[in-house]
Amino acid sequence: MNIRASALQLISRPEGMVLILLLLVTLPHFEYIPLWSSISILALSFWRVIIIFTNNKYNPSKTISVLLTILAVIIIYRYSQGFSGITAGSHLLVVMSFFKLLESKSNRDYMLLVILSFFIITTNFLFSQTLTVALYMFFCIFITLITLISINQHSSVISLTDKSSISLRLIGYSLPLMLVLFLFFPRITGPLWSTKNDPTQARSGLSDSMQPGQISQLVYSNDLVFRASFKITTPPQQQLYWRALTLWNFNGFKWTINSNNEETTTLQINSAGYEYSITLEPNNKKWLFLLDLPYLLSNDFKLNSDFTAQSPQPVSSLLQYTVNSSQDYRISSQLDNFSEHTALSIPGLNKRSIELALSWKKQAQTPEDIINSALNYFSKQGFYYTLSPARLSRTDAVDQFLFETREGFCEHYASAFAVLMRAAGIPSRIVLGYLGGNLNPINNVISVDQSMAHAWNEVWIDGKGWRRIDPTAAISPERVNSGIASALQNQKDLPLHFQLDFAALEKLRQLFDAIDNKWNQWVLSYDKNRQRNLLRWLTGKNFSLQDISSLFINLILGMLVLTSLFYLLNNKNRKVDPVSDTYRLFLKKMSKAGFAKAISEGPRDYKDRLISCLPDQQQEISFIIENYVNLKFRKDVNSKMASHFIRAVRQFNVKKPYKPSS
Amino acid sequence: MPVSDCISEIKKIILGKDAEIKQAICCLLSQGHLLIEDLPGVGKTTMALTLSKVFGLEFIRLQFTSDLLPADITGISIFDSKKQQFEFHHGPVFTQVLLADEINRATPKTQSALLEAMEEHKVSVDGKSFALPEPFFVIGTQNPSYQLGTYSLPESQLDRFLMRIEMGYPDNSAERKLLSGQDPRQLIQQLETIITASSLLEMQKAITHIHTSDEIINYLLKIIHNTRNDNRFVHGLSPRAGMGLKKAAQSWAFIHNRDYVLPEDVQAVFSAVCNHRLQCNEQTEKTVMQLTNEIIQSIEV
Repeated sequence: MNIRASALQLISRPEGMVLILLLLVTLPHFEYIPLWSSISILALSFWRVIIIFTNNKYNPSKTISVLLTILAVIIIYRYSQGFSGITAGSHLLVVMSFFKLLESKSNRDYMLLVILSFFIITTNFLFSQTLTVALYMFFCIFITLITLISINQHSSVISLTDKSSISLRLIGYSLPLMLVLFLFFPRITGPLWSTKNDPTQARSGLSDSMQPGQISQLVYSNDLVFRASFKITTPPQQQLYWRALTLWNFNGFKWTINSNNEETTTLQINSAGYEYSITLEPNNKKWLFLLDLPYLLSNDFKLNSDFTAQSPQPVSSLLQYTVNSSQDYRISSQLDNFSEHTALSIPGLNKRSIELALSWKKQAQTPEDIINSALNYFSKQGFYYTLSPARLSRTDAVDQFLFETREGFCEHYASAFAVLMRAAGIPSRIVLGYLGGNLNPINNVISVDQSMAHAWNEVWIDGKGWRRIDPTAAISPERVNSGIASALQNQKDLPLHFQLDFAALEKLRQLFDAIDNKWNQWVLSYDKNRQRNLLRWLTGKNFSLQDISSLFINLILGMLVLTSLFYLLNNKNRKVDPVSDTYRLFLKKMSKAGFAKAISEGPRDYKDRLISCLPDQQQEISFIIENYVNLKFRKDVNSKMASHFIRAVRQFNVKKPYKPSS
Repeated sequence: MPVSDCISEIKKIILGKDAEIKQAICCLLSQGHLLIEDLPGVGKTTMALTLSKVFGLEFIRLQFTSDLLPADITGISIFDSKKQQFEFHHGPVFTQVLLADEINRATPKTQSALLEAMEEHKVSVDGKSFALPEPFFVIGTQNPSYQLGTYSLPESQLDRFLMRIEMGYPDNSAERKLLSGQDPRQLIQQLETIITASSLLEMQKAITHIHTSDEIINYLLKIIHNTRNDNRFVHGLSPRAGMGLKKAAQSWAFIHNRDYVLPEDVQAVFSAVCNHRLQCNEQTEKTVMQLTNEIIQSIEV
């Protein structure tokens, strides 16, 4: 048997169709379930295929399937520590569906699996809601509907084209309901279910502390962090410092945030800067990303004194906010005592670094001189910007870096710089965030991914306030001016996504990025506020959550009533009548062969005409039509007669009379 | 099968008119009355005679004229001086088969006297009613109404006749046979009686039990509704017409040895049962026959 024939045989059978359907809808789950689960799923599918081709020879016995199922449940339970949470739940659902497939025999089982498929399709959206996944899910629904139709109809009756058009029509019918659900389902703040302690929900990204080697790890990820679109002008690359949080406390190796940040600042903006909106990807962290230096924030978010901001809840779905930032500012207030103390404290380690800083201080007239000495030291003393620096010890990490290894990534430089400044008596802190961004020429949107993670410093200068100093710029100006990819150009183990450089591919990527951005703007970031705005725009009234809920219920009820009315009016006289349906099938077969029945032609007249046209098939035709007459017009109908009649019609095919060719 | 024997017996006399013979028998079996409409001399009377002979029925022929009075049909009460009381003298209507020849020559008053008897199967004179014999079957003949001196039957009275058939001229071979053979009137005398009156009554009873499935009832409903919704007709079919159509279809099935009705049966009797009950609008250019054919052809079976 060749492969083509086997494949055709497979998809012509309901179990084959359901198997392929299940594999299609489970495909995205393979990313979230462990490898051994994926392998078991494939093994179960393979087993099912063998059963199909050997005509049920290798059916699992009842005991074996029960044992296997129990084993799988136990393994999943142990792996996910329980069945709560979306990962464990969907994991169990997916694996059990394949066990069900293994033992499925009847149409009822296949129906169940098709319904399960619809369910699995929805669970995919718990993990990812990108445009790609959405499109793929539409495709899956289409295939599921085709399978549903195939299971309920004998495949010879409806052609694939008809099935496809029915499926598309069904999807079309459901679109209004989908729109109403999307637009008017009452939206609440935060996710509908808890995602706490869900291992797959942890995403790579910045953390609220910094130690050597931490940021350079992020360079290997090109996951999108956020997108920014600027209102009027887009700032140049070297000004794209996106701040997230400031670090104050240093224990000699690790920088952490300052828990009680009481400092009050008054910011004086000399000229208006940029206005932009940010679409933040969900990351389950609270902090927001703001361009240096923010002064106005939307969504009632409060700006902290260190010019960072936090969302009240961890960001678990797409978040949109607008910010105003300006580079031309003055901080006029004084640094309070507590903050000054924190910004100057260093642990009693790294003696050589402190000595070096003190020697600069002796020569210097102004704080700026000290800063320049430090930056000069970095650029002149053979420092090297690298992704894979030598490992540093936990105790005198800064000394080791400044005098021995002299190679590091931004976190090394920022950390050393802050220590040097504090030793020389200049209050300083570290800012964590991202530097740079890819401008998409199609829609002028800047996207920032994890590889652009960066750390830099801020120093307090009396009369001017906090000033940004980026020591990395002293060693690798390319990092600031043209981005991370060109700064790391000569590295051996460059991450793969920096290496690909095809113009056409880049265009395609930009286009997809632009579409994805629109999807984010219009679909994913449709939240409580935008729902209220839409309703206000539609009705001119303000809606509370309660109003929206009752509106939603009314809309759904209205649609239900309308559709049921429509259905009732259209199908008043339509009853389930297999005999008439089958007779219609017979008429269809006949009319395809060119012997269509006249509208008013009675069955007996038609029979006589058909027999005169097709004398070879007199017996079959007589059998079918006489049975039809008996079933339809006689008083006492034998129940077996109907099934004989239906079978005869299904098996019937017109044999064209032989015509000698001229 | 006695009915098919009857048909073949009648065929010997009425040549080349098989469909009309079947329809006439169908009408008889359905307990309905038959109206034969055609020119004089095409065999209307012969048909009536042959039917009554073959079915063994008592036959009276009554020629309608313009001076015929109702009492001439129903009978009259005359004072018997010996018994000192009125005695009812049965009119010609007291028979099993009444051939009402040229029914449209009589005045409407006389016509209605007959039609009442047809509907009620009894005659009321001087406050007494007298039942007519069973079976009671009227064959009315009518000349086309454009002939002089006729009072054409109003629609309400046409409705009393279950069927109307037209004899038409015989075809060439039938006519040749007719000309070369014996006089049909003499041949009738030689015909055998195949069915007795009592077995005819039994058959009439049996026909009411011929099965009409839901499918057939739906089909009849569709036909009736279509005539009512078609504005090319002045009126649609009456409920009586609907019942008559069903009865006639049952008889047609009976004639064809079936105990259930097929759509073909309905179609076969449809124009005979319905055409005389329908009237075209003045604006319509088509004939009733064409319109009813259109209706039948548009309804799916």
